[in-house]
Amino acid sequence: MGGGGEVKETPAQAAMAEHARNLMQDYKQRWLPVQQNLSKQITSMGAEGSAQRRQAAGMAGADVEAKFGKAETGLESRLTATGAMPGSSKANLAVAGLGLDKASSKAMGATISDQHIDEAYTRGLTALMQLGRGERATVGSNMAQQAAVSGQQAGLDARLALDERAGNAQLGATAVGMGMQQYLKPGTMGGLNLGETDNYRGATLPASLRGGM
Amino acid sequence: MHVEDAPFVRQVLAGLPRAICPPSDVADIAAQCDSNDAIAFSLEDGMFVVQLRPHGDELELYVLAAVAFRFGAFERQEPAVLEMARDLGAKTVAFWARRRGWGRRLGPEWFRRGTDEFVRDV
Repeated sequence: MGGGGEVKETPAQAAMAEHARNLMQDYKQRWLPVQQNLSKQITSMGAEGSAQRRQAAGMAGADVEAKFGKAETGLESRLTATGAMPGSSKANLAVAGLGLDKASSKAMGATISDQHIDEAYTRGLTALMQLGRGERATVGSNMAQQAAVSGQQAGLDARLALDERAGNAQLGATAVGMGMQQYLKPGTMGGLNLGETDNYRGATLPASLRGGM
Repeated sequence: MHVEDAPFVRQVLAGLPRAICPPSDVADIAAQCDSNDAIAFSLEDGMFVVQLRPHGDELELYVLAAVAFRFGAFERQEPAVLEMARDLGAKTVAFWARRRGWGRRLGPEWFRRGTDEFVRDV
């Protein structure tokens, strides 16, 4: 009677076992830390009050300041060209209206930038899932995308506001007079009725986005 | 999810009843973690030790041990184990049921293999 009854591993099985061990080590040393870091970054980005959210809101605000600063300069030039002297009621109305548009744009920009962070967070989570499934995923810099969008939005808002305020200052006396009556109603501040939900452009803004002047 | 070392595995498994996990099994699993033949993970829900091993022509992620720190840990962490199996290229996930009753608890995607093993496709 010979043999111990022991079943020996074939070379193929040994090679397969070695391959499995190498895969595990690769996963533990190389891939797992990447996945854990990515997960941490994405989770912290999506958190309320995260640095990314604050940065995005700040960027949106800075864009608004920059674009409306140019619009304010443009407005002064156009008012002078139309004969509205600085300090006149026409000029004051147009400048105050532009300020209101700027505040609205800033609030909207902050909301939109926060939404972009939400979207980036969701995209990040999706990318994590795709990576886990071995699929290709693009985990790119969503902050760059958000920056471009907020800049464009601020520019558009400022251009529209400038056109409207400068254009409105050219209205005939009757129209301006009617507008002045509207704005000089009791309970307004600085001649502007903050309770109105329609802005000068005729679009309806939520009450929460107006005011703050 | 954290990767844990052999002493942690030994400490957690030693807390189990001897009938569930005898000292020899504890030593064996801890030794496999030490020699990098298995990886131990811990999270809030519990700890599990996995090993990638050949099964026929394919690879299988075998759960050497799993200890729940909270009720419902298995249901919550099963997807994570499946994801890990996919990452590693395994076609199946399997474990040896140390306690009775798993047959009633597991979903239809799990099959009994032998007496006390359960396996499912990834």
